[in-house]
Amino acid sequence: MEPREIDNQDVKKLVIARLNVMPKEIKISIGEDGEHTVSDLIGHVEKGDDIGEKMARIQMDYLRFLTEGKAYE
Amino acid sequence: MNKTVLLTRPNHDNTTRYLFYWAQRIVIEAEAKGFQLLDLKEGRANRKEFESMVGSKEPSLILFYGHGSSCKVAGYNDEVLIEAGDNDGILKSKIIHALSCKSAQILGPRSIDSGALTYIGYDEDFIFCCIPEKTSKPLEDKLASLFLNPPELLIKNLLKGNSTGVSVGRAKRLFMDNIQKLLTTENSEYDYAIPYLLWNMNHLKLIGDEEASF
Repeated sequence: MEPREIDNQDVKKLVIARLNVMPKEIKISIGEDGEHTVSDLIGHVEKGDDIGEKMARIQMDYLRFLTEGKAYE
Repeated sequence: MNKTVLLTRPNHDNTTRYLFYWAQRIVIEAEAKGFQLLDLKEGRANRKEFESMVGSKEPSLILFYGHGSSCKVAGYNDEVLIEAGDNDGILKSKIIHALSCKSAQILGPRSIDSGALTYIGYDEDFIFCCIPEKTSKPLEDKLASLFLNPPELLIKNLLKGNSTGVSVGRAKRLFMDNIQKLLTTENSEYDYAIPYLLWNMNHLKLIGDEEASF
């Protein structure tokens, strides 16, 4: 089984910081997991559950995309 | 190829409500081009009607809008319309686009094994952000449009007769254009959306024939 991003405490802090810059009023639709507020998502990241792990993968993929220089291709 | 399009678009929660309204633009486009359109909307997006229409009208392009998972795509009130290993054989010889979550994981490859030409979908959750004040007018939601315009462009390309490969490539390009616009605009209002746009772009998959066209 692949290691979970969310189990890394530095990743968890970073993902929460990234979510905290989002406007609190917006809604995020995540398929079968339904619609979430930013506060909901932060709660999932803090708990380290599957939705929290998805948030971590999304943010880490984005950071890798930036550092690998793919943003301006 | 038979120029009949079948569209399923339930409307029973906020997510399907957004997809329902975006699909309306595809209805207009398909009708303007003179295609026969089988519009299974709201309560008509049920399995009985879906299977009946596929069997009797033989559409060559099927467009699913709705919730999904790795093995299935659902319709109204999340009734399963199509499921791998159950009724995926009815997709034989068809081009399929599913604006649904995860169905490219298992349903997509299984439908190709069962004879579908091309399956276009997402192998992870399709995510979109929206502005609550716009829920009564989803088409005016500029934040949601960043997410929903690329799949719309993809389908419009299919309706123009472009190949599945070209259509998917153009949708991915529009995701990237949206990302780059947000990255390069000073004080961009929606820059927090970039990671989710990138996620959708990366998880949009084409399985099967890249040269197939409608």
